[in-house]
Amino acid sequence: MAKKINTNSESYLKMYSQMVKIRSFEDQANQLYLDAKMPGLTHMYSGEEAVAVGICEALTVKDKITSTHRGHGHCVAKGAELKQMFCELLGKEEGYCRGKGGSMHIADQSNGNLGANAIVGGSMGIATGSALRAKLNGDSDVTVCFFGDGATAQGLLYEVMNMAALWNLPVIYACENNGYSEYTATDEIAAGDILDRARAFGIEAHKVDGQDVLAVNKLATDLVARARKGEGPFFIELITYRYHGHHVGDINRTYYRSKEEEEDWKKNKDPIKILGDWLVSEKIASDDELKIIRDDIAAEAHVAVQYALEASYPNSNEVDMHVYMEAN
Amino acid sequence: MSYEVKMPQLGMNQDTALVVAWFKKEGDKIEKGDPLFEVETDKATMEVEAQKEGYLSKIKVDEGSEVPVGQLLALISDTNEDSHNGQTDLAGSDAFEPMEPDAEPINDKSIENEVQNIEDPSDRKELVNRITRNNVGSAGGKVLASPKAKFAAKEMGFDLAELRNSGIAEPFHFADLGRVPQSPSFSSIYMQVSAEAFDALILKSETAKRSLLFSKFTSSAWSFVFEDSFLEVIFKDTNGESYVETTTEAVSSSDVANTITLIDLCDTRISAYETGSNKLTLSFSQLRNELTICFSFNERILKFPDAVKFLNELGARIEDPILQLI
Amino acid sequence: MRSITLSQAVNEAIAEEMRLDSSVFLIGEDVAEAGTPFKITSGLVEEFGTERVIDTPISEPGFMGLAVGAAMTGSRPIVDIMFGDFLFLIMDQLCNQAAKAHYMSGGKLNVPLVVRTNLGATRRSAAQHSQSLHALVSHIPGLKIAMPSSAYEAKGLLKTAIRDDNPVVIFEDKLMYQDKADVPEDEYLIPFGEAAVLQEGNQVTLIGTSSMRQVCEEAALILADEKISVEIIDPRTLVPLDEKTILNSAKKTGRVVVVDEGHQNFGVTAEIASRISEKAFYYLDAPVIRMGAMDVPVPFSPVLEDLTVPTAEKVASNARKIIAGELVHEL
Repeated sequence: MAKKINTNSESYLKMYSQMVKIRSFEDQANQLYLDAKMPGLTHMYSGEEAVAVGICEALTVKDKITSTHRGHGHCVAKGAELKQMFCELLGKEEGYCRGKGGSMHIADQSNGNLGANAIVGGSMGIATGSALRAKLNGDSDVTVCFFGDGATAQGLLYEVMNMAALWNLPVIYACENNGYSEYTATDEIAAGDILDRARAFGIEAHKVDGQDVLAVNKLATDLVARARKGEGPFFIELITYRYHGHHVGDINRTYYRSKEEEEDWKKNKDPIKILGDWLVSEKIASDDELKIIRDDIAAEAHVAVQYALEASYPNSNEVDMHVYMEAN
Repeated sequence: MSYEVKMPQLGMNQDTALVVAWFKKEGDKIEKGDPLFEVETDKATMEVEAQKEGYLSKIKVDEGSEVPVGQLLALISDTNEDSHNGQTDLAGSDAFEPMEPDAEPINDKSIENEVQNIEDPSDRKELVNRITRNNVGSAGGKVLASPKAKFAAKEMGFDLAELRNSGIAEPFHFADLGRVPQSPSFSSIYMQVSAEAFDALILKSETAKRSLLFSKFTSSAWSFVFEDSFLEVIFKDTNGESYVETTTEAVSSSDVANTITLIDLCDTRISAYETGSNKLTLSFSQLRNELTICFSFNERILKFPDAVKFLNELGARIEDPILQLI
Repeated sequence: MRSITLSQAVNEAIAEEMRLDSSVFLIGEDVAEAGTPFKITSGLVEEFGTERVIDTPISEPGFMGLAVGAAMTGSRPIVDIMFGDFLFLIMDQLCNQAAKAHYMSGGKLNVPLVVRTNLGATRRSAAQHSQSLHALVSHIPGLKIAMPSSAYEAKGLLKTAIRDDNPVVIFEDKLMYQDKADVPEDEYLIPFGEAAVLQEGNQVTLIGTSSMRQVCEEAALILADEKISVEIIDPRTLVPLDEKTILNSAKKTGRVVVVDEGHQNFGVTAEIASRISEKAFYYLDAPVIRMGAMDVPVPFSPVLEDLTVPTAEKVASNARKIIAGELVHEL
């Protein structure tokens, strides 16, 4: 466990709460799916909470992120409201995208989230372009590009890392390595070392334990500050794990990973438990206090789901609205 | 094989026609396009050409006979020998009656089945119409024409099959409609109505001229009968001067589908003015309390029942001007 | 009025818009000092510097992606895709990202960028540098497609494109870069969705996009010698398409030949012909004729290449046939 990097207990508790919020959101979303109340499919972030929270807690509201198909965690961590997220998951009018995007496309530009992306690796150009804009305009914001280990197989990454390095763009490539590219172990799809990919362009690259939110946050805080000063880009590989399958219906997973492996991560490397234990040991919070936080947030998620279930669907006249932006 | 010659449909509302003369006699060799017989309707006399080559094996209707449209008139056989056999066979000629010369026998069967399988009588009617349309006056089935030509022909009451008879190559185009003069079917119908109420209306009104009232009544009657069809009314006086009196609620002049000319003869001793043109014409004349309305039209453009409906409506309005207000 | 080349017109449009709006920048391969292989952007880097006239590596998907991100966060990039054929390389960024962001976000995000690229065969460049792929992107909701047919249109449409809040793909004809036309010195814009009626007539309508407008104009001259009255329409933008002007003309003449340099199969000509057939059917006196590029990869040999594109003679011949009521295709 990283040493105290911040004397502000409030910020530790915020990180704890944010991780619990993501977990609660995903538990409810999973239940919606199991109850056949949710259309389409979704990809659970449970298990990877420390990655999104550790990084997003190092960002300001003006900093940008791009997200992935497994994007609920990034969205919550960047400040989104659960009600509007559930509404979007259910295709309701009050959703972040008025029900037109769904689970894989939630965008929340008010908090700097440029959107989840259903094309694996599809947002790497967008994130780098956002950083290019910041540099051209002299804006101080930094953009973080979240993507998985599977996306390192996309050529776009190498094109944009090349340009980001050439032009010193304020972008941080955050590779969430959860060990599996859909239903295939990462070892089987990625030759060589992932960090070496970035280093080939002269990009400073770090590997960090993605289950240790404090370690993630410490590294991210440092790199964000340096990127703001024009020292970017940076690359981080975060070692993490997804508790669920590739998507909610991916139940039989034994052909690509064992139940023992899953149990080991949940029992011994759970990011919420790790931070909780540390908070108790450092006497920042008691077990009871943490339980109250968890219960309150679970209740909040429950209320948000009920709200979304009863919310109305978009009017049919919305179907051809927003294809083009109308002139002012 | 024998080919049946039937009395053709020569006008829009014509039920019968007179066989004036046969140009060929039984046993004669016939080329396609040879004048076969002459026929007279109440509007015109015309020659009918043979649609098929062969031998005239049997004439079934004598010169001078008035026969209904569609009746069998003669038979054309492939060979001369056939014609003799045909002659004997034809003793009981009813056997030939159900044959449809225009359609392929196979199609005939399937169409017949199709008709029988339809429960809804309105569907059946539509199908029959479709079949009739497709077989319009030809040995070759469907008349090929551009959408514009077909649409215009329908509007004008122009029978595209007649273009085929004139030797113009298919598909027909819009310009082809002008290449063959279609025999016009000019008709006039008369109506006498009481003018008492109408005259009273003119007397009471300080502003209404007779011509204006005629125009208004005419356009209202037209709109009432034909609903969305626009009408432009031109008033023509006995000096030959004409001017546009009124239009129904046409949005622009290009939307006016019809023009009608009104002639007021009430101040003369002339009883009617009939025109032989495509233009619609109404003349009004008055003898004491009797108003005589004469309506001239081309039956190829305006169908007889529609003309009747219109004139009835106009007459009713003149007899009882209250109808104008309803 | 002064006359300038299409290339100069494009250069002026970019420079004027960059002067007006500091969020506009140009990005692409060799757009700075080299001024592109066609020398269209020459001089811009001297005025605006390398920060706003950005040379990229040969990474079309990469810099297209950058443009999407920059546009999404407030910039108005002009992306130079050196040859229209390279559109295939940027399809994901253009069609999955740029075209859909506004809709998928329920109107929250928008991507105001312009992809400037080209089309057109007969430069003896073979099958990977000669394609006219505008139909491909016209199929994707969320994109607007402009097709300038002269220097005048090139400038007016490009300026409108840069100011549009949506992704726009504008196709210039490679063969026309040195063609001159009258272009006003004063500022002007050409609105999207307004076709130009270049000549009025009543016997046949020729609809020509991009350089096929010139082909239609030449065909009209041939037909004028035969006293045939021709109406010529340049749609100017395919999306949005000025259907009203096209349909009104089709209704007036009853005969239409649609000419476009994209492949004929499933192409722009098919789309326009189909709309006419659906919406002006009863006014038609002849089948609507499509004339696109032959459905073959563009061959290198000049003798073969010249066979693949519509020519004025072929357009005139088809127009003549449908006016005479002759068949262009067997029944």
